[in-house]
Amino acid sequence: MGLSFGTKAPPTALSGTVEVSGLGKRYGVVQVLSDVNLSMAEGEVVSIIGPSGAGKSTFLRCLNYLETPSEGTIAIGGAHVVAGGKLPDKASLDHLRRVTGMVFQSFNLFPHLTVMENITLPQRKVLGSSKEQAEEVANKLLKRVGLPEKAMAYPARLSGGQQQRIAIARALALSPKVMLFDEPTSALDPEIGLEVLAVMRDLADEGMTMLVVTHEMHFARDVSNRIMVMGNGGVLEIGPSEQVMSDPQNERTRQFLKAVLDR
Amino acid sequence: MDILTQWLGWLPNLTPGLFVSLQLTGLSLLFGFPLGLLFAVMAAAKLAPLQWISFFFVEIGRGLPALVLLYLLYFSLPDAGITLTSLTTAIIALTWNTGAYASEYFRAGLAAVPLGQKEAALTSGLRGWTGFRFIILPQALRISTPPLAGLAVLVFQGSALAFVIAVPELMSKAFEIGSITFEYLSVYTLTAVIYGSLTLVFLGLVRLLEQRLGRHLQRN
Repeated sequence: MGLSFGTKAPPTALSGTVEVSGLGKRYGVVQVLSDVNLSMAEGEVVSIIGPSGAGKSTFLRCLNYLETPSEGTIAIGGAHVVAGGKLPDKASLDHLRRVTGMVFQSFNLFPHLTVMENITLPQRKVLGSSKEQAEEVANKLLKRVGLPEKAMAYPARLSGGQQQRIAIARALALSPKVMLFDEPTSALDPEIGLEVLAVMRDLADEGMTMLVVTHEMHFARDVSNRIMVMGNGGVLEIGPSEQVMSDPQNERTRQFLKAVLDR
Repeated sequence: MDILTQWLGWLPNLTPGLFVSLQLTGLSLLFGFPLGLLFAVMAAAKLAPLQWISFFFVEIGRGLPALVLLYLLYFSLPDAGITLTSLTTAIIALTWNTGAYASEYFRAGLAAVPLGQKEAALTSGLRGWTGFRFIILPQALRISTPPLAGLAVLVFQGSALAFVIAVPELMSKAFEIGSITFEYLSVYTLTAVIYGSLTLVFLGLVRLLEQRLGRHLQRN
């Protein structure tokens, strides 16, 4: 096989749809996720809310195989994997991770690289872009997240909100079809969180397909098209944001929303 | 004054020994550090035989005193039909010793890189060797640098052990002078000054390197 330096962009046209069915995850005998189904159209924004331990993050992390699901199928932007049994081959995994961009709660910028290098390194290694091409893309993205002047800074010099915006830019640099956000504002104080939410809102307006695990109820209601409520490793209910917020069908959802909204 | 004149007179005899010591140390580090990194990576490999090989070499390298390792190689290799110079034998022994200890420092460094970094590398398409080379390794090396520098000093000082298998390094030159002049205390004091001052200079350089490697963590 030799050493692989990443794959080039797949030749097939990619779409930003998500089709997940029967997804489950077990740790030994503990079933942390069972029978999760989700179907998203291109450009749709879905927020995932629910109490701690509901399996929200686990679900999101299964979608790009940061966690290995135990069963079910995942089809995102032309990538298709079936869980259970053997691990998918490298090409399928690469494809899956190529079409998904991920933003973490703890940013996870590469601390030993400048902001510019954080954004250009993946492009150069994965897409085979030249330094100039990669920097051009990076500069555009930095402008888009409102931080064009931070290109040469190291992450440690930036505020949490700035780091998270850079992390979004880094994920966008590989032109993903679907963006996965794992509690992107939970490590930020509420005021700083707003600047990150503003960037996400822009992204949604531009038609990016987004799946967002969040505790930001305003974002969930105003920006996302649908809300998926999770509890106990399963989906409690899913529906149009307004409806889930104002008229939840599930008792457990009502209880959760009461707790987060009446504070 | 007397003692300084005496020392200056000995220096021409000691300097070649010092160069041999530096050569022995330099080569042991040059081979030992990469070997240590290799052992560390093998120890974390999924393939069990790789883990066993790493375990075997690391535990022998750490388990045996360098002196014993020197003697074992020096007396066993000729029996196995391998004839090497005493310097080469010493380099092999110290490389083994260095590699074994270095692997533990590399392992600690690799383990100290947060899991989130690996996940961010994966989701950025930087998997396998690319992710390791560009994301994990640089961060691990920064963490491992101070203990590795300490190890380098120990190897330099440990190179004096090669004296016992007749490598003409600094210590053996000092012993030679001592046995001719009977000024043992004086010549060993000079030797101590040489070892000590070189170590201090080296540690100063390491401090500079650490600052450079930690550049990105400075906030102002």
